[in-house]
Amino acid sequence: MRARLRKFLAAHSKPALLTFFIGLAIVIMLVFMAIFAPLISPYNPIKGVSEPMESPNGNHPWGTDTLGRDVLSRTIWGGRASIMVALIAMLVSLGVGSPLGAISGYLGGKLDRVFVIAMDTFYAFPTHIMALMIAIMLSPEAMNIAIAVGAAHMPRYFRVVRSISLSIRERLFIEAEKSLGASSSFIILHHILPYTISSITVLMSLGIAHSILTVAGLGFLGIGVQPPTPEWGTDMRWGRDIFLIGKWWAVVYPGFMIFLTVMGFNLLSEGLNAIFQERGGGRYAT
Amino acid sequence: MRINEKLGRDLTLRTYVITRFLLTIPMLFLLVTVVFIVLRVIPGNPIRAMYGELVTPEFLEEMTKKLGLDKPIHLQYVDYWARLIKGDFGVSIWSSRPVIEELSYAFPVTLEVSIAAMILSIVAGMPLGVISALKRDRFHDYLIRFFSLAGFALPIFFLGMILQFVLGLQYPLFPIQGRYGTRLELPYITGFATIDTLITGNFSGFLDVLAHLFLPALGMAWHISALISRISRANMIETLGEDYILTARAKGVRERAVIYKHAFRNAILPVFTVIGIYFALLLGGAVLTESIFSLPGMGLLLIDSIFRRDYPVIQGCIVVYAIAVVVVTTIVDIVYAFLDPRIRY
Repeated sequence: MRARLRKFLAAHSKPALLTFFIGLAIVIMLVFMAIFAPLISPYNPIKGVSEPMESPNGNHPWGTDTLGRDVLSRTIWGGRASIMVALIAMLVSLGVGSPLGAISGYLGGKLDRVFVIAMDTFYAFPTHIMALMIAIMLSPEAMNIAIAVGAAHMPRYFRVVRSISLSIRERLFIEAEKSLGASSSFIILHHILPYTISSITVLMSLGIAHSILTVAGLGFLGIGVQPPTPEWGTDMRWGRDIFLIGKWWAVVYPGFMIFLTVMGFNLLSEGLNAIFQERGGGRYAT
Repeated sequence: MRINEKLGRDLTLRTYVITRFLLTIPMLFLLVTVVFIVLRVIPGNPIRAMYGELVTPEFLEEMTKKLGLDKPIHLQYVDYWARLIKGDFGVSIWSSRPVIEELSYAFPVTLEVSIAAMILSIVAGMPLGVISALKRDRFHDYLIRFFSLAGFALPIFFLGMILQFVLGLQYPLFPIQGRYGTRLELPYITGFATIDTLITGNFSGFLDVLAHLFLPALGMAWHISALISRISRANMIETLGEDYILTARAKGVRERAVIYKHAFRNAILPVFTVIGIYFALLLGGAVLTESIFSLPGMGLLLIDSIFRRDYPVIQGCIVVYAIAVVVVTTIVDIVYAFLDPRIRY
């Protein structure tokens, strides 16, 4: 184990490792915070526990919101909803986008053209509006928000996986498999998808970052996770009423947490990208 | 020989432009159809959703007939297209005004702030990316890259609120809400406040509009300029490694000339291809920015209509977004094809 780690550290440049480990540290910290929210959070996040709009003090280090709820507790719990929804959204777009991309790129022809036009169209359409549209269609529950955001982000996965699939389908080893009588589905599952893993890992991390921003944006518009469930975007919507009169804590803390989370996942994907590139096998995913 | 080459180039360019135009048809068709499906499969009766549960059965029936909801779905679909082509988006349930009228007020607001944001982000993003590439792996590069990552991670609404608070309230340099001051009376000519003030010769009004435009545009530009600087950096680094740059240097061309005349032009061209996509991103981001800065644009109209369940307006907004996106990406692609002879079908 130690020898492996040493080998890993020796094989990569300092900036790549630094970016990767800082990102990883932030992400692990946030995931722990979300999982252990019931243990860490000092108060019940959905109950008023003090006077409304109390500024940060000894009892409430991050102050209280308009309903007298503890901002620290809400922010800790809010991570659960935000990260969970973003994670599911990422899985949705990954699960639909990458197989479609692999199939479309490998088979080519008319099917590929239709897919490309459709995906390009959706890719160009603003993600927020797309997610809004799907969210109106479904009702605003956490799961539906995740599906909406996931569907809106899907074309990114499609594009990357398709281009990889397109570039390797002419390679000799695929030709060899075909001559041995392998079916298309076998080749896609056993050769093409494994080939895309490094790019997909980078995209997944980036995808969570994007999803967190979109989910928070929907929450801020009032179409995301519904109150009283704590969620960063939704909480900022309510904090906004008192923000402009100088009571900044109900907005700044959840806002900072969104920033930190997205930054963490961005650094992680940046670091992974650099590491894969240094290995030579990976491709630029963005 | 020359002439033939030129002729050949123009022919392929023409085919490219025509193909690109034809491509907009399936794109538009697809988006408009999705809008139809989305708005028709919403569970429940839209009339009940719009007017509440207290409507009489007669009224329900009358409205169902009036909106054509009693017809089979395929006829409704044909109807929907026929009316869209005529530019008839129906009447807003909330304001009783034609939807097209509401849109003609809202769309210029969004377009204006998006264009302002785009200009800001190109002006900031490209030089930053180029500097970053020239100082590769040195302090300035890391600083710029950190800021671009940070710019990307800041939610647009959070940034907007911070700007409002800091530059609008703590240091009241810019107005924090609306399109222009309450004292300004603006006639509707083009719908673009900047152009309308200039046409009427109201220069102080123009400055007022620009001042109102600054914070929302800055908030939107932050994110996009981060993306543009990243792409400019990557392109610049790649171009600086090309053989012709080596040749230029070997010929003894001065470093400045190598960078600006040879590398910069070639590196910057591809950046324009992504601008179309970013413009769509801006239009989407405008939803959040408009709701923070109370700009009466498409985003605010869409959100308000969603809460009012004003379906004709929702539909109109989304169709206009779709058209805007398709038009912008097409224009960008075609302009790019004129600039770069390598792009052909």
